[in-house]
Amino acid sequence: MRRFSRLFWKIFGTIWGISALAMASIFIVLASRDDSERWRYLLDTQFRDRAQQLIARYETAPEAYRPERHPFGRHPVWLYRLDAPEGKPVARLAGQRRGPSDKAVTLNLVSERGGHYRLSADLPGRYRHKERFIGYLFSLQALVILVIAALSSLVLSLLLVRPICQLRDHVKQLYHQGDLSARASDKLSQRRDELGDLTREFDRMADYVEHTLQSQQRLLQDVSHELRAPMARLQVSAGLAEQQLGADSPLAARINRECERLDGLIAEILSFSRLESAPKQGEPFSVSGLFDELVSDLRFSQPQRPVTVRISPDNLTLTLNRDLLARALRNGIGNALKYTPQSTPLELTAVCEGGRTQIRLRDHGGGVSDALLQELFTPFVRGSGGHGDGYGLGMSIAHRAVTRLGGTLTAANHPQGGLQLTLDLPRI
Amino acid sequence: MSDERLLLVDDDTELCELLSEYLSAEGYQVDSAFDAAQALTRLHQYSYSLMVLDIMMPGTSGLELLQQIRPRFTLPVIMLTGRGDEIDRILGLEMGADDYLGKPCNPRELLARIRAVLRRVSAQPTAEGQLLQQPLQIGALSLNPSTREARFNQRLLELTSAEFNVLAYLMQHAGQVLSKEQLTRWVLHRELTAYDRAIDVHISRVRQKLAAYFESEAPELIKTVRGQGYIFVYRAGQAY
Repeated sequence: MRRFSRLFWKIFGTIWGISALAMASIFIVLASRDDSERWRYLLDTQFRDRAQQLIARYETAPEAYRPERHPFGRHPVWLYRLDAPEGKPVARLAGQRRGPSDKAVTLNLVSERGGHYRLSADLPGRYRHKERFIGYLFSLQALVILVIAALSSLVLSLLLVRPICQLRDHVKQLYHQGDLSARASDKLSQRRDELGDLTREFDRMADYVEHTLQSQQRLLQDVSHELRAPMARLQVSAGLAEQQLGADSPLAARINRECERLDGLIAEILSFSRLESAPKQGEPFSVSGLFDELVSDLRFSQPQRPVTVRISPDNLTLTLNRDLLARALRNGIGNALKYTPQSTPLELTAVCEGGRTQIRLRDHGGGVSDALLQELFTPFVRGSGGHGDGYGLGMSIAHRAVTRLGGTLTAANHPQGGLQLTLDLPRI
Repeated sequence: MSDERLLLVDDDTELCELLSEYLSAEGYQVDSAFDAAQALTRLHQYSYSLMVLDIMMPGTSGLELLQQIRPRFTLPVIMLTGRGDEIDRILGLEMGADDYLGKPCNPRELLARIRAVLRRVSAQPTAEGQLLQQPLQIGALSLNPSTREARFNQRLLELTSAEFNVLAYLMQHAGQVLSKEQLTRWVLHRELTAYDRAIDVHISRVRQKLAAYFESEAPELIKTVRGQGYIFVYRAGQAY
């Protein structure tokens, strides 16, 4: 219920507000018309006889007649003699001196002697409307309207909110889980209303994005692949040049070094684009074995680097694509080796709690600036202070590998210094 | 000029030409084959000392070719694999390739590997790692270095040359931890490099082949010592 509460309350508020407003205006119109009719009737039935009596008394002795203040009880009623039919008043027979208001209800009378008179009565004040309106508000009708508004809002929000939530989940799958091949369910995309249109447009957009990304990746992979053959020939040619120039030729050494650099870049781009097709699952393997392998690889380039490994429980086993996980961790370690001093320790921790495995890799270097932290996993973004021989692909490969495994990789500066990479692996 | 004749198998004809030129200058006789069929013809014509095989070839791939020629041809094979194709490497080593190298590669590195493999085949002993010539016997497992036969309860174990050497060195030093560096130097006649899994693959293959001889759970004959290397577990008077 909570999930569509926002829209539900908005729809409910709108419907209820509009009904209340409509109810109020209809009431006011009806009430004012109703009132004048009622008073005219009252004048006719209750006050006509009394007025005739007053007129008879006046006509017998007009000079001796004294106007009466309240001949009609509490109601403010006036009786005038007119100079002509529908004419102007010439004498007041009853009522207060101030006279009736413009909105008074009137009744014209003709006496037996042919004199013209007008009986007027003021309508009761506005407060009467207000009282009746408030009474109306708490009446059964209002309650019924409220319930109907709530029910129709509920139905409307159910009708609207459910497909919107489905669409949201679908878009989430597209974007957050990186599953661009996902399409909305038929139930949603075959709707004939605007939501159906929206869904179809979303799908069309996803098609486009998927297609664009795929062709971009294919291009990258093809180009890198095609570059390998000339690369291989170039390297052998460089070897031949070295044979002829002598092994100590600086030119040959230079060509060789550049060849290796180019080769490394091509290899990284290829492995980056190949990750997408790597399988998620694999044979079960022990984490301690993997960590041993990583540490022994690390010892190869930096034997002095202190490394702490902690695995809990000791015999932690994972059923994932070991190669992908190893690649992610290797790139993370490689980054730490490159950007932190050799004497600073590295910590590699794997903890499995409640079926979820978290692997943390922490260094004790200077950490990373917030701006770089944002871009750490973006391809071809490099940090400063490294040896300048990277391509900025390592961390994006790591990120992609972990995403491919169905996990998440996050980077943050540790409160006690150093960068910490956290791999949250999916529950198995 | 050396009498060692090498066969290059790669679909890239220009690369083959360049490599032939490079290796000829280093004193080898080099023939090239551009696909699996040509390679097979060549193999039947001459007796080669070594084959450099590209795994990624159109048509019959290098792996398939390797499968076809083993065990008929026993010549050592160095395969060229795509960078990062660990599965190809492991498959290649399992199918009996002797070593691998990522392609594109530095020709100097290729030359070093060729020399290392040839040195091993000609069984020139290195200073520290020398295989004894007399037969070894531990429990039901016996090894005869002169005939290069390994037997388990008299049944022949089919091992590739690298696998045989790994087992032989481990048995010769039974009860003693051998590091990956040592094993790589002794068995593959080269130095261990970063991300090098060749020895691990050879050892896991030997383990699998030994395990196949046990009906139920196999005792762990070759143990991994974390952070140090491998050890052939030896207890006096044990029986399998």
